[in-house]
Amino acid sequence: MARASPLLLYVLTRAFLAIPMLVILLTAVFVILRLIPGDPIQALFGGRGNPAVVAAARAQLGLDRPLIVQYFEYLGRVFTGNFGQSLTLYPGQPVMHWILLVFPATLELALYSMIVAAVVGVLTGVVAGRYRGTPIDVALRMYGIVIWVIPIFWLALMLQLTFAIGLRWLPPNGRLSPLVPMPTRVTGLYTVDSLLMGRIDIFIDAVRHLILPSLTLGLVLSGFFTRIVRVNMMQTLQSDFVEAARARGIQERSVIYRHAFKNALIPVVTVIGLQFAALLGGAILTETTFSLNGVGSLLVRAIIAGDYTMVQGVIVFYAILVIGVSLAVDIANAFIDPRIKY
Amino acid sequence: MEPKPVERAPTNRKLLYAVVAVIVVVVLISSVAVVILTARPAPAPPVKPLAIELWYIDDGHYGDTEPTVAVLVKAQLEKSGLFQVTLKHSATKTYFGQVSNNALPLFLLGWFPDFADPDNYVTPFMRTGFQSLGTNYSNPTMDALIDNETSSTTGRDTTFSQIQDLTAHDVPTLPLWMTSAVAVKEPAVSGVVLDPYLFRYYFIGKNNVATSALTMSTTDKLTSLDPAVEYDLFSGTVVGNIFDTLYTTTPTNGSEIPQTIPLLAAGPPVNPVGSDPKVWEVTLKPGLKFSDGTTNITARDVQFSFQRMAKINNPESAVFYLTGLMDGNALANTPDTVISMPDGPTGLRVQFHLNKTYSIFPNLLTFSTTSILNHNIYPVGTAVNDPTTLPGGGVGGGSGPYIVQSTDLATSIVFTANPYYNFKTFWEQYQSKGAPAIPVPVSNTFSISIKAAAPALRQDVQAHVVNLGYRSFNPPDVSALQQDSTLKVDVGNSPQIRYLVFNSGKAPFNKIQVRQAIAYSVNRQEIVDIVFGALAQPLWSMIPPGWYGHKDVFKDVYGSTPDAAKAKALLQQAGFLSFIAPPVLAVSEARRPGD
Repeated sequence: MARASPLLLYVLTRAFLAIPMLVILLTAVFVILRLIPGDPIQALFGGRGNPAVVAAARAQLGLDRPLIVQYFEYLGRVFTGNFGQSLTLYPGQPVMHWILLVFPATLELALYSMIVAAVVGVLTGVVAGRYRGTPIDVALRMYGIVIWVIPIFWLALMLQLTFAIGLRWLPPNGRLSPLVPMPTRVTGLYTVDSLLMGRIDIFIDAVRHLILPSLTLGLVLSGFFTRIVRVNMMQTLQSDFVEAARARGIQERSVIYRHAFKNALIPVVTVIGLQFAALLGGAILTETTFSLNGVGSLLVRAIIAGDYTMVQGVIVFYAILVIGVSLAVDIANAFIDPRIKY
Repeated sequence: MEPKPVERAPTNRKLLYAVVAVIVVVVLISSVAVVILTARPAPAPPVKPLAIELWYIDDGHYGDTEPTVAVLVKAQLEKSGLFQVTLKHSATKTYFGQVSNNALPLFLLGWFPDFADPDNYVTPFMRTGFQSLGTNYSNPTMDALIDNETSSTTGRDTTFSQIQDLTAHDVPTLPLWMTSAVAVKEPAVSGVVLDPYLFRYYFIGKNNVATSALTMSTTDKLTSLDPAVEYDLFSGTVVGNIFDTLYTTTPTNGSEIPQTIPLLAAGPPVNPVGSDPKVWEVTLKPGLKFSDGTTNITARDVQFSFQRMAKINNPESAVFYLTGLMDGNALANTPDTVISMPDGPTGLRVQFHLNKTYSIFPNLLTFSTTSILNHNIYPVGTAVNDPTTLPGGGVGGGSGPYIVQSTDLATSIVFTANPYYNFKTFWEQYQSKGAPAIPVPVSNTFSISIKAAAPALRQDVQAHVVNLGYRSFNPPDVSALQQDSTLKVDVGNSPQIRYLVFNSGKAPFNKIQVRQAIAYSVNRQEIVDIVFGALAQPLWSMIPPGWYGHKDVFKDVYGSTPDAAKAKALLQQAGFLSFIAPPVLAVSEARRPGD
């Protein structure tokens, strides 16, 4: 309890620091989208619209005003949760509505992928660190390198060909089988909503649809975890407190799994936060390959359709998400790592 | 004393120099002569190719093959050095907006006929005023020919022949190829009729018996479920399965031209009414009900459905059909003057007052856009855009065989049988044409999964996730799926035509010679061979083979292979292909005319 007050101060400080980070990021998105050639209205009319219509559309979207005015309006809108209206993909409809509509698909994919990445990565990393220099270590290091550099779409196609087309064990794409009803939306996560409905059959179907995309994204990310956990494990095994534990006659198994393992995992929490951004990037490819209607595929469709406000909205949404996760990880680290001073 | 030697050396040396000089001169002259005599004629100075833009849809609306087709057409046009083509592309929604705004100069488009008459391959592209399809073409002679064929029921073959001749001369559009319809299904799936006008989900089941559920995947994109808004094949098909029209067409797999038959109407339309050939009277069958099972379909619903379309007046919809035949403003605001109800709103008779004689009007009444809506539940002036809040308690509220169980437009739509469907046994009389011998809809539930691209469609049928896959497989995938013994591939004739559209209102395509030069430059057979294989055939007229009046008019006029010389002559005649001047050492400050 004595640490509660400084911890609260630390949390508040980190949260406060996230605000300028967010403003810088929003500014960068605003500037970049206005520096690239063309503008939303040019894209909307293919550069060939009637000048009067184009001018009216530009005025309607406020793009005829000075940049500085547009900038502060934009900041004001974002901070009130208004990301503007879709231009071409869903004309006139709020961007935020569509992002929130499809976000659960991305979140579900991200969560399950992270579980796969963490479980596979930590297990292989611990084993490789424990058996350092042995053929097992070499094989697992090789796994870490190869799986990390494999293109996501290629791995996805291989898994689809093997388990969906060849063996027909799992569905090749989508979130639910054609005749399985969508669960009543509470969270938008099918695996959660189906359980809330008490429909185990829908839950099983949703999980079956998540296996291949989660494996694809999770396995690729697990390569990074393998390498980071292995290094941490080796460092921890050489640390003084482990030597001291051994000197006290504690069994090697207990030394590794009760003392070294827990400490080796601390940096992994930080890495999870950093990898979340990579995971969202990977989700774009995974969602496209597996026909998942998430934020990633929404971004792809918005880019193809030249829907600038939708693209801007998705990027800002992603950015806020990454900042939020980083903040959460920092706070979590403060709780679990006694070496962090605040 | 020795004699002094004779001094002959200078003389000999001079002689030697003279001989050498003569030899050198002779060699030089001979060399120059050889060069001159053996030289080939000087090449013609290079010409400056005509720079044009070619647009195409990039999001799979016409399948994954569209970018390949665009690249191939570009290569064909540039092969002769006469054109310099810049490829441009946009997504479907933007593209059709650009087409409606007459923004695109040259672009690829496809056409499924909206109703079963060869006129539907002509009027939308060539009649002055039908500019929504981007041609901007206007020719009084063509207008007169079109008016002739749409106002009479005899001698239309001859008129269509003349229309095609004029089309080949004016080239407002350039027909390129027509594709086959492909459905891949499990062997037990029955009732798949590759009908060019309406793919009837309600015929489809398993083993020709009542089926609890059937699943299908497609790459088509659903844009709207509102008949006043939708104007694409898939959305029109979905609308056609949940709403009824006054008339419909007999089922066909494309091997024969379907007949127009009454659906909501009690019989053939009456025309002329009195002595006025511009008035058509339609009488509804008595006792018809919408999917709520209680609301009768009346004359007011018919009037309302047409009025609503005119009132919403969506430029990307098929409203131009109505405004081309009726006074759009009057239809929107004083509908009684355009569609009258002789027996009142609750009666069964309606009279359409057209602004011209139009012999094929009943065909227009088969089109999904003219679906009849319940006037009690649809808003008159606003489109229904949110698929999750469809009228009729979320089911659509039509009178068609299906009601909508759920949809998000983007990934799936699920139908269930309309328990009050009025024509459950109506279709049995058309068994010989593919309709099932049992009451429809055959499947109580019909689910359609919407896929982002063709690979996912192939995966779904290969993994037997769905019973049926329809539109649009990649051509190589079709070949692979034909080898799969667990699947059956149906390949049928399709009336879909693919063509280039020239915007005659924009330079350089406002010059007929440019359009003709491009007609001389494309190689249809090469497009078919490289991109589609056996799943397409070259198209030599906007009216495809099988329709009355068809003739291979572009083949007759322009030949079956490119002719660069004729294309070049036409472009020069049009004032293009100026010679590129050789480089000069000194450049004047004054710029040359034409730079």
